Amino acid sequence: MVEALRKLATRDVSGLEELSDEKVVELCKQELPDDLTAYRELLRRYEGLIVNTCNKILNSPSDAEEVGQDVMIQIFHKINQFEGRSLFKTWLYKIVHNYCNNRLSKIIRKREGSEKYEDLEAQRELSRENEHVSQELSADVQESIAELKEKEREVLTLKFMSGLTIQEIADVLELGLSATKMRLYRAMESFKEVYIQKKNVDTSFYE
Amino acid sequence: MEINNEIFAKIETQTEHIFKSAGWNAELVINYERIDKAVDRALLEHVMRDTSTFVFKGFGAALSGLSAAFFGSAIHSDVNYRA
Repeated sequence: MVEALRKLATRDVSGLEELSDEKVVELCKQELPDDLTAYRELLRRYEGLIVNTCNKILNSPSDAEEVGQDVMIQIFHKINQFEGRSLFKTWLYKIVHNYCNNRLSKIIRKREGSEKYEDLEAQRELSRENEHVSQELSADVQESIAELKEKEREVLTLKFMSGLTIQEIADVLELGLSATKMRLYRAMESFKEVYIQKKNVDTSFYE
Repeated sequence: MEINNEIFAKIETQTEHIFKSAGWNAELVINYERIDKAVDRALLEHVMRDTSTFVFKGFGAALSGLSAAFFGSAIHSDVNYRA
């Protein structure tokens, strides 16, 4: 029945693709819950980034799927709370950040060494399935990232995967600009250290 | 402590190169099944919330209506409207 409702409430999406995020958000506010077209367009733009970001932060594909779904549903319920004072992307990543933090608290309590290994193997499997990714390099990067602290993983993911600027990251994390820059710098330094050790790479690359 | 901009820019470029080579910012394939699942769940939650609101708000109204009907009939039980 829900599937039938979903089909009834979705019209042709052509034309929405060219609109800015903010215009699509306005449509969502006007049309939800009766018309889902604009909402689907938002999800089309961001579902991959949401789940991938969660995956990189949580280092667990199964948790990332669940948290990603929760985030997408939150957009539906809370879209009227977006007032346009920041970019939609920034608002979205705040939700991702909050949900990932909540899940991390649970994961840290439950995680054991064997689970971490299984998740790393699952992540390797996920990397192999993506035709656009340099498989070995991605797995090595992911392993290095996995050894960092959660806050370092998060800031690297927001910067290098989600493509946020430092100001946008500061808004998401609710930090000052200097503090964000310092966190990012330290995260890059930590990543460099782990990556070099793991790969025994030629350190002159980093000179 | 302020970070030297030049040093920051250098390590940022190097790190970006590694992540780019690893495909971290590659264009992602859209997963429409995932989108459908999220939409279905959002709709279901919305319907459940509306139903719960109706039940709780409607329950009070129904209860007071029943009470009014009961006490009303008790008060007026001696009235005979037969004609």
